[in-house]
Amino acid sequence: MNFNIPFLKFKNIAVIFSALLLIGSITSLATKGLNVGLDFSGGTMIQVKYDEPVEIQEIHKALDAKNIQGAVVQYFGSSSDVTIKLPNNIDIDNDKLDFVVLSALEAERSDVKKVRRAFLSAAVGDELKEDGSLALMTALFCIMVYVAIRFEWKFALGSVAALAHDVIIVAGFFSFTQVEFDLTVLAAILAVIGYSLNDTIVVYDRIRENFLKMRNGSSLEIMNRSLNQTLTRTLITSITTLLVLTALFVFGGELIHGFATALIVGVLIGTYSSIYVASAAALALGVKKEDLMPPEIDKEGADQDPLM
Amino acid sequence: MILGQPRQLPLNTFPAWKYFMVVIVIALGAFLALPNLFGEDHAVQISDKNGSEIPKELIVNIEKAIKDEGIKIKSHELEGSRGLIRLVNSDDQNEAKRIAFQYIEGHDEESIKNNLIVAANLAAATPDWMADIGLSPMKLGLDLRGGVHFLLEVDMDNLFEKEQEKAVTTIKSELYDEKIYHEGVSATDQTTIIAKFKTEELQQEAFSKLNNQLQGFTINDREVNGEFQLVFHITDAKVREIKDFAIKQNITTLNNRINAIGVAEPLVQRQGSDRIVVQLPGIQDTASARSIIGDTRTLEFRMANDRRSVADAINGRVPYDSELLYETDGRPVLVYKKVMLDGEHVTGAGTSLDERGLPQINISLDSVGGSIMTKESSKNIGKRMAIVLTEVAPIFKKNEYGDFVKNEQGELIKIDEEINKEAVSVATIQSTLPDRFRITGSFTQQYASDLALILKSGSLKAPIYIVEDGTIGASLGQENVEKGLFSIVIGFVMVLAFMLVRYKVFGVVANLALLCNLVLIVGVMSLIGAVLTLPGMAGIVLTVGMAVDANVLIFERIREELKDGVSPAQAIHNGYDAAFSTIADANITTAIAALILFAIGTGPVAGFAITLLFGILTSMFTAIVGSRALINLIYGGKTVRKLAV
Repeated sequence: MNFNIPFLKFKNIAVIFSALLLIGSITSLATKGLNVGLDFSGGTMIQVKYDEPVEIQEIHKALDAKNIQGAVVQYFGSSSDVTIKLPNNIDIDNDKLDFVVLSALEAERSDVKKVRRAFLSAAVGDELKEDGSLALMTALFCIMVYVAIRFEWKFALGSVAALAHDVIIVAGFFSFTQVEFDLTVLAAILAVIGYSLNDTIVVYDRIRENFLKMRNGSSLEIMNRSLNQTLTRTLITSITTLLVLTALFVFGGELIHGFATALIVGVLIGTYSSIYVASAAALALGVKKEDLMPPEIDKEGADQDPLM
Repeated sequence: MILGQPRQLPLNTFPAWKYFMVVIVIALGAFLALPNLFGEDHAVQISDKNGSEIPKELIVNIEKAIKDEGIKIKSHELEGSRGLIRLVNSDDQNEAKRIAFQYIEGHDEESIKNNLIVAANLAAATPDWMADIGLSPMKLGLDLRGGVHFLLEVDMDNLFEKEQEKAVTTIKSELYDEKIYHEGVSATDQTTIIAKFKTEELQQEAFSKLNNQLQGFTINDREVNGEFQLVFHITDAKVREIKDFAIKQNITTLNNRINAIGVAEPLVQRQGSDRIVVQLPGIQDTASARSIIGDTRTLEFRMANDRRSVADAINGRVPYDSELLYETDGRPVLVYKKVMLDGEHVTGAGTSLDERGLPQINISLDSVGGSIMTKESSKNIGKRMAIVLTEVAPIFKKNEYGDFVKNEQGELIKIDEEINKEAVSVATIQSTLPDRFRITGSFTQQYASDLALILKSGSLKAPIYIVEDGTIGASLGQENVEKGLFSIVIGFVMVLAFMLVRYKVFGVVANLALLCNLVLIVGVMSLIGAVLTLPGMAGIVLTVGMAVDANVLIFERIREELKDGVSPAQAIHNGYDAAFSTIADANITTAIAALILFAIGTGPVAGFAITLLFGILTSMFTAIVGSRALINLIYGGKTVRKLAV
């Protein structure tokens, strides 16, 4: 397949598109926030006991029937003792919560009784938020340094801009759709960083190679050429990853859904950002052929005729 | 000496050692991954809570008792203080546990009756010889397989007592400073302090002076039988504040302890107003999990009261400001009630040898603790200081299974409570102590390192005790786990099929490399004892994507070369060469990100990062070296007209 798509001709449209997405994401994050799950928000734990062993699935069915969402149901010691954890942000009055849950369960099976009810704090506290964001910042900084050393500072800025772009938009997607944001989604966002970075570096590598190899052509032309040359690889890798993710999305069950959704959005955005954020940013910063030339070594006496 | 010319290897051939290395690495990975094939046995575990050895015949007898009830037993084993009876059917576990518990309860020997703990356990069915050389299967996280569960109650009484004592002291010294005479200030219960005065004037004067002095208390005046009183009542807000702080401090300490042992992905969560839930994955054995939670005692530095006679105290005449405690070896010591320094200020502890070659304990404090210690120790040179450990041991009602009995509200029934206090390392202060100091004395190395361990693991703000322990099922539910695994397999197979269609022979090679990669990841994760969670699987899925990516890069490059008219053999060579720097750059940058997330991030973030990191390393190996070895074997060293790529 030989592509010759003038990607960077559309870079102005892309700038507007990205800007709109970013503004939308940040606005949504600021106003609606994330629909954080039990891991982050804390909630209520209700422990129930059945006379006879119960299937976890029966309980999920009973709760679904009364439209009680986001419950984590676990066996507790035996197969007739069960704990049901509910996040804080469900639309049920806190005082009536155990009553509502219990009557939902009783509608399915009558041999159930409440053992206790307790408030649960968030499993991941402020510590994760602080440590996590510190880790993320440090990681972005170190990546920038590495890319600056291996490539050029303009590329470094481009790659980090692309990463920030992807993370904000994926988070914005979760805020906008109000799909539950739990620990698996957090992991997915970290995975998106890995994927998007990989993609960006592959494109950069080809750009560097072509800058050194192709004698003529403007920066824009060379970059376009590089994007086209790596396009097959970009498509194939996206396809293989999306194959896995689609399988997770379709067959993976309810709890892997958020994870798969985050990664699918992330892979699409990550592929787009390698071209239109990472590369376009480097171009806008004025990457030139000279930037990537190996530094010339000043050899003593190099300007004199050799003696022999 | 005559040397031959170094032999020039033809294009696309590896020297023999490289093939050999590939085979060795993959064989090693497969070997490490092997324990994962054996699954787990449901078992009943009998362990001694003091770590003493269990007699062999006891385990044999218990096994026989279980067998007599018609339960099929696979095997039994005994290792020092821990015996394991493996069962054939998982359904029998509860019944077997009951039989074992009743056997021990009915035993004649007191030491067996009191010290042995029966617990349900899921034991890895790894063959002995594998376990002996340290191989173990990967552990599954709380979300995938559950683990052990503890409900810990934080004993707040102790804390409120301390708070009350502090307030009484403040009131007394304030009245003393203002020269207001009083007829006694004392705490009447956990939330109330009463100060008594002779006249209404004194009472009112004290009221106006103390009104804004005491934070977190409300003050009321009243007259009881001609006695004028001020009643100080602790506010609800203050109660909440004290509790919140204590719980938070305890959660931090517990988290640190669990992290220090290396249990990945634990859950430590507040439940209700004064309880903490701890869930540890990959362990089904509550006995060993107890040791991870560690010391449930609190630790304080206090001064010894050597001005009064210990003999008097033993005879019941204990001064009001002191209490009589005993050292580990049984020696009595009189210790002031006033706490000089709380254990939470200890930041580190270790042991070394002093000038005379005797063991000493080195303690370091945080800055607040350091300045308190400096101030206090300068006032007390030549006097003795003690470390006081406080433990609350509630006694709960148990049923025939050895489980706690609950009342109708689901609470445990506390029959009694024992508060054990012990004074350790009573030693004379020789000089003003800075934030780092050492304790020397005539103790053994073992004693020193035990104490250092207690000091180091961080002191709890308030003592805790376990009100409930047991196992807990997977939070994702068995069905979701199965669905998740199924979908991962489907995804994986689709990738394999896609690669096969797109790259033909090279696709087969890439797929083999991918499978080897998976084996290597599982091997490495088993080796380091990583806990596999759903987010962790995410890391593996991403790695699968990236491992394919490396091969895609190489193969696309080979295609490009072929299109440019390069000979097939040369195209393979150039393809691998040119793609290498791209793959290296892409993976190194991602590895940097993973490394930092691992180093700084905690819990789930770190868990994800470690999987990603090892995935990158193994995938680079299999995609670059592994696939090249296969390609070389297929195409190397011969004339190739056409490549199936």
